Amino acid sequence: MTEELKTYLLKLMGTVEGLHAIAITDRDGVVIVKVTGQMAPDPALRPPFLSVFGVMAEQASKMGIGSNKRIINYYSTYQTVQVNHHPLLLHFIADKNANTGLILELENELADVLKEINKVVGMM
Amino acid sequence: MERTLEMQLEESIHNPGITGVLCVDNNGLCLGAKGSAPLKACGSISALAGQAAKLANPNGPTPVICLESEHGIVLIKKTDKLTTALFKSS
Repeated sequence: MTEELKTYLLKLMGTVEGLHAIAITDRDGVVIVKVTGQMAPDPALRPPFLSVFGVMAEQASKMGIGSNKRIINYYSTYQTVQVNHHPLLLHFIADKNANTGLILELENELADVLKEINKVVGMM
Repeated sequence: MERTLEMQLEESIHNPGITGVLCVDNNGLCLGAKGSAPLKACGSISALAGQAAKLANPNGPTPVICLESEHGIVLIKKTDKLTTALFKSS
């Protein structure tokens, strides 16, 4: 199943120009599945980076405007799009010029996959 | 701040046959929408305009993309920092 999932994620990754990596983690940033391209920045795929989003989303949810859904960060060379899909977190790492809107649309494409992973995570 | 854009969008939607209008920035993020324009399509609209611009003469004006379907027509035009999509009923 993991291999099939990785193949699917790689296919999705290819649909957005400049998208370098997709990672699905639990809320602590533990990687469940991840696919990377050659240009993916290594630090953005390590636990210290991935685990921060869970905390950020939690803090951002305290602003009094509802729970935090997505955080988009633009850096000098890369952008990260992180989606809170409780209890899973979705991380997209892309080139700074990549189409952010298209990356956000991938969230809908991944809805079924996330539902399946949710079931597995729920059993643990 | 976005009052001018809102006014322009409001003006566009009042043209006959127009059902929705959408403005997207170069990152594919929505700047404004009126009518029945699907907000989910923001990224695709920006990407389509970008791809079409590559096919056209780089020194000439950017092309207007016209997508026709059974339910209506979508006209997409990219300018310097903005892509606009008009949704028309057929």
